[in-house]
Formats: sequence, structure tokens, C-alpha cells
Amino acid sequence: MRLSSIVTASAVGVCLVACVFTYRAARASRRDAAAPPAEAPVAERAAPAPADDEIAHERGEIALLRSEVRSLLAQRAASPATGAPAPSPADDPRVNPEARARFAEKRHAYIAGIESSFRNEAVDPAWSAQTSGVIARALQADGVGLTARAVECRSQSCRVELVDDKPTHDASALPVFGIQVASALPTMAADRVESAGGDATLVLYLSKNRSMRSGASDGADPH
Amino acid sequence: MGTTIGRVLSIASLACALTLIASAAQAQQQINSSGAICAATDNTHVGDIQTNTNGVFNMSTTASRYVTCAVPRTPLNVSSTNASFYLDGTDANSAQTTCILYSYNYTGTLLDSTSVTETAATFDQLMQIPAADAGTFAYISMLCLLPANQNGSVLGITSLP
Repeated sequence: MRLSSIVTASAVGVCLVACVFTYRAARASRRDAAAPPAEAPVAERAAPAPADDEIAHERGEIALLRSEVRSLLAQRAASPATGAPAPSPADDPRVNPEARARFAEKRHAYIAGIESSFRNEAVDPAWSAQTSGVIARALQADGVGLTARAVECRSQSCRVELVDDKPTHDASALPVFGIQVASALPTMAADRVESAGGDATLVLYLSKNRSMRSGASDGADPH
Repeated sequence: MGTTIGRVLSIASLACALTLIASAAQAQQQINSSGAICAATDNTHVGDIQTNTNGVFNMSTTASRYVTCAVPRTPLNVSSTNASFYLDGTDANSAQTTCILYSYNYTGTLLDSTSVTETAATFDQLMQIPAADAGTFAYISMLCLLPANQNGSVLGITSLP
């Protein structure tokens, strides 16, 4: 993105120069028009005038570019300050139950894919035992104190079921748990499952492998 | 002659304006946040956390401390498969800084996380959360464990569109 800043700065410079030349040319043109015709040199007077169709073509191009600039400015004015398109209420799960259902369905499919990958993963007993130990220690670490219903590790990922009974204001336990296991399991996807009785379970899918998750690296380093 | 040059330059100016408007629209979506956006996670450690204009540091001489940072962002481009962030920071004296990005949906339910542990003197680390877990209505925040004695820092975090 820094490259785009340089490009933008360069474009500003070019535009400024172009604007200065345009202004000077326009002034010169006005001066020419205001000057008495008798003082014009003979050679200049004899120069052929541009063809009418050429002038019409250039005017057409200018008119087209002006309309595109107006259109882009109007689009920018209509957008939020960030330039991102405003979400339509129909796509907003916060206000639209249908959008909420679509979101839940997509999310369910996404988690089902992760669950399926986990179930298809081979078991490496040594890694499984070692990483289960890391998780057990992290669950009991200072500032965590979470209770696991089940912990299952395979060869590169683990599935952890937690009792989700922490009040919202005490929500720092899980983030701190994430830090505690960061070296061994740097990525985590979570799924909150509510039972008919109202009890909630948080299922965590932790992985040592970043590329296992959907979406390979697509972040161009702007630095 | 003068009027022909004028026309050509008018066209050039308008073309430049189009380029400028288009590039400005693209550049608006990256958000750079200084580490000064972070605050002590634990209220009892507020006195240990120092936010300077160039980032956030742990002044404790005895223990690592947690800081929590908001991560401002804009909705992802339609073509993005991940929400991407660049974390910048420093380490000194063999200390390590660990940070974890969390994604929550609008109801406060945890969706996803990704973490890094850094020991480099200066680091610029890409962190990504799958687009499926970083939708238009998701919130991103970051928890970092800063080493004692100002031996690590978060200088800032950049959200990409």
C-alpha cells in the first residue's frame, strides 16, 4: 500500500503540473482572443485551422472524461468515509432474521469442514500425548481456570470441548488460554453449541498448521 | 496552437483526476493503528503498562504483562480469502513477545484466533484469519504478552482490506 501512496503522490505532482500548464494555456488563449487581430504575425494567421471534426472529437473526449470524474466523485460522496460499501439491511444478520439464518448456515458448513478434516487426520500418539499435556497445563494456568469436557489431539490438531459458563466480564480466560498454547497450537476456530437444556459448550479446533485453514496466504506485505 | 495544447492538457488533467480518485478510493481501506491503541488487560497492572507515541511497553521489572488492543478494520474485499494484518514490534535481550488475534461475531461469540511468538529485534509479522470468520460484522481484537523491563513492544498493527 505504500507503493500506492507513492503512485498517488506522483499522480498528484503530474496533475499539478498539468493543471499549471492548462491554466497558462487557457490564459494565453484568452490573451490571444483579446489581442487585436492586426498584430498577429502573417505566418500564424496563415496557419490552417484544425478540422472541425477533430475539434468535435476532442470535445467529445473531454466531455466523456468530465462525466466519468463527476460519476466517480458522486460514488465517493455516496459511500461511507471508509470507502467500503455500506451493507444493505437485507444482508445484515443483526437486523434481518433471514440474513442471520444464512450466516449461521455458512458458519455451520465451515465448522463442519474443520470437524471433518480433524476426524480424517491420522493419530500421532507421541504428538497427541505431548500436546494434550500442553492444553491441560494451559487450562489450569493463572488467569485461565477453564474446565474441559474433552480433549482430543491427533497429529497436527486438537479438539477441545469447554464448559461455556464464564460470564461476559470474565471473558479474558479464553484469550489467555490462547496465549498459553500459542507456541504449540497457533490457530484456533471456535464453535458454540447450545443444548436443549440451555447449557453451552465451546468447541475449539486448535492447529499447529496455519495452512490447514481455508485461505492460503494472500496478504501482500505493504512494508 | 495554444488552444490545441490547452485541449490536450485538459484531457491529461481529467485523466489524472480519474487516476487520483480511483487510487484514493483503494487506499482508504487499509488502517494503520499505533500500539498506543493498546491498554493493560488486567486493571491491577495498569501502572506497569506505558503507552508511548511509538507503541506500548511493559515497565514491570519482574513479570510479563498482558495488553489488549482494538484492531480497527473495514469489510474485506469480496476476493479476499483471509483477513490479513501486519503486526509490528520489537524485542530485546532474548525476550519474546506473543500476540494473538481474536475474531468475535456481533453477539460476542468467539469465532477464530491466530497467534505469533516473536523474538526478533524488530518484527513485521503477517497474521491471518479466514474470511469465513472475519465477516463484515465481526470484531477483531488482539491480546499480547509483553516481556518485562521494556524488552518487547507492540509498535502497531495494520489491517488490510
